[in-house]
Amino acid sequence: MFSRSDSFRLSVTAVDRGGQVHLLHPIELGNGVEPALRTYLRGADRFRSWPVGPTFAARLPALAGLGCRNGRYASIEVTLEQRATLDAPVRVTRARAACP
Amino acid sequence: MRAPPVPDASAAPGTARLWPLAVARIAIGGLFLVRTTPLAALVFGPVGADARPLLGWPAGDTVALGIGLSPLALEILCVTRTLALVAFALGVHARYAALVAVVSGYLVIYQAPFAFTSTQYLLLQATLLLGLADASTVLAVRPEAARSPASSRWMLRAFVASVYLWAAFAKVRHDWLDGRTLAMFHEEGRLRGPLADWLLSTPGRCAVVGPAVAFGELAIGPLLLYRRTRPFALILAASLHLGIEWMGHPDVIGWTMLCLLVVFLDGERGARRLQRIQAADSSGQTTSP
Repeated sequence: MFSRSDSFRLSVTAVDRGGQVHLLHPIELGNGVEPALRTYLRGADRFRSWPVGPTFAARLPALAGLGCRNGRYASIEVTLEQRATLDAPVRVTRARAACP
Repeated sequence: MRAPPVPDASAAPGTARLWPLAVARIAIGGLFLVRTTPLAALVFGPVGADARPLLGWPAGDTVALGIGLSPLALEILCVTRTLALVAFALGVHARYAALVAVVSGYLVIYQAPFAFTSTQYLLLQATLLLGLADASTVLAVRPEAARSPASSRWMLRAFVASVYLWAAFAKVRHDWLDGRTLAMFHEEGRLRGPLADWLLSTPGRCAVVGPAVAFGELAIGPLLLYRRTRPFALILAASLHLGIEWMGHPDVIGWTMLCLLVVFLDGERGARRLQRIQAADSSGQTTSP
């Protein structure tokens, strides 16, 4: 009941087939995903106190894999930064997907 | 629905006293049903906008990062959950209906983990416990025989008290007790309106409200369990939920807790009153309950 103050932020980088690095907004992973996930991705470029940081953490490789679906990139890397409370240190988790 | 079997109370001691659990079953079943159908948008406004046609219904061929159920399986589960909740609320094989509703409800949640809310989890837990308890012995289309009235009552009461304790434990930390978390919720607009503006307008006020809420929740559980303090605790808990509902709309958790608080009502007193009314009716007298 309105207890938690944990927050998270996502950042996404992609490497295209020519080797160039691109900084993506998290919503660019959200084409064709279910509405709730899309809503969270839309605002995930800034620290948000939404209670889905652990949910993202558990699915980070699959999330990175979503970026491969448009076929433009050779690899996608997703970085999740989480803070357990307003005073807690930032915990960083990364996942990388090599696109087929 | 059949009336509470008051005349049978002597034959099955304690059964008539279970009406608060039956009322909680109807209330939780009804609330869960409304929250997972298009009725949610009518009753709760934007909070219920995700329940079209049913909560968890597959949105086309979308990716959900869930457990990999097919859209057809998900649709079947949503419909199954709805039908089971209808049976649970009406008291038709309520025990089995609760189990079916909970299993299908969890599978739907696991398929769309980002749509998961703690309110849905609480509704599923409450449904499961009310299904396992003697909550369909009265006020049910098909009443079931009581198995363990006393443990049923106390299991539900302990569960509700534990919700307050866990909520309090989660708040006993520095950034809640000094009011910064509440200030953040206010700043983000998650707590809003005149009451929120008044209570949370300054860091000093937040620093007073933060500990008051945390230690209030910590106290509510034990106060609910102790008979003498129960009326005060019920008023305190109801005020807390109505206040939060006024300031923010955290899904339907406030309404869920209000429904669950019914299990603390005095079943014996209500059963005696019903017995008097029924006795007066059968002898053709008029009575004022």
